[in-house]
Amino acid sequence: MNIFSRLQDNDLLKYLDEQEYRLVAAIAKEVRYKKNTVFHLATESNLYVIKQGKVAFFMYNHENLPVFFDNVGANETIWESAFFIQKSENIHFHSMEDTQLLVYNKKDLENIYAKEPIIHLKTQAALNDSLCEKHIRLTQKLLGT
Amino acid sequence: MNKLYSCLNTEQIQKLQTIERIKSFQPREIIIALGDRNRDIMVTNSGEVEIISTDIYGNEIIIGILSKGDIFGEMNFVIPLRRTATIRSKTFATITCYPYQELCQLLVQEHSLGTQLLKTINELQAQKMYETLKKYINS
Repeated sequence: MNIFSRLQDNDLLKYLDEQEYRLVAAIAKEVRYKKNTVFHLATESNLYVIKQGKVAFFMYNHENLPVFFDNVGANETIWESAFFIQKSENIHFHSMEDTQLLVYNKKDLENIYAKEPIIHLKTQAALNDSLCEKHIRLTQKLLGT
Repeated sequence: MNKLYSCLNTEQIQKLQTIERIKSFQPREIIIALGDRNRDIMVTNSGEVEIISTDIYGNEIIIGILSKGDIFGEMNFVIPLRRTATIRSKTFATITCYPYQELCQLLVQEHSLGTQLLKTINELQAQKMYETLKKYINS
């Protein structure tokens, strides 16, 4: 929607001005994974953005075979759906390159939102975009289009 | 209940109602056509509507049924794509329409209302994502 303009590369923080960006950037923790590592993330309680690298998502189907359904690269968010419905399905993540993630904890974000409500609005708008883009990609895969 | 109201307080609901438009549709009438550029958000007030897509051969596939309170069209509100599915009334239906420009203006003017509405849309998108994922994983 045409409410805000992108000001930052980071997809989660893209609508924040410099001052707002610094506030949120200060709570980010970092985690690294070597290439070809399979890992889990606490996506129901944290938001993750790729600082560097590339991550694929997969689940096991009823025949216990891995089904890869998406991948994201630098500045993109990782499986933010779980953050909204507080449900961490058995989704696995695979680093396709050496990868560095930024981790934004929900409680830390809520503390910032309480002080600066505009940051809450802007991050929700940014998450609107990333969720819709991912859902469109997945629907296109499902329909084979 | 209108699911857009689910996270709003009484005052916020009243503000949102100022931009609502109610429209009626006969059975099998097209509400949104695949490819439309319209970016309004809609909510089913009464009746049922079908979400229709097409496969790679152009065959019609009903991918969902929406009933009272359900939100649709939110994806195009967020991203300026052409409509990605056709929405057709299955029964006589009344629809609440939130015009794109007026809703954007309201979200900017009313930060708290805007935040709650966008959060509601995100929760809806997340649920839809899980449903799509389950279908994809087991397809």
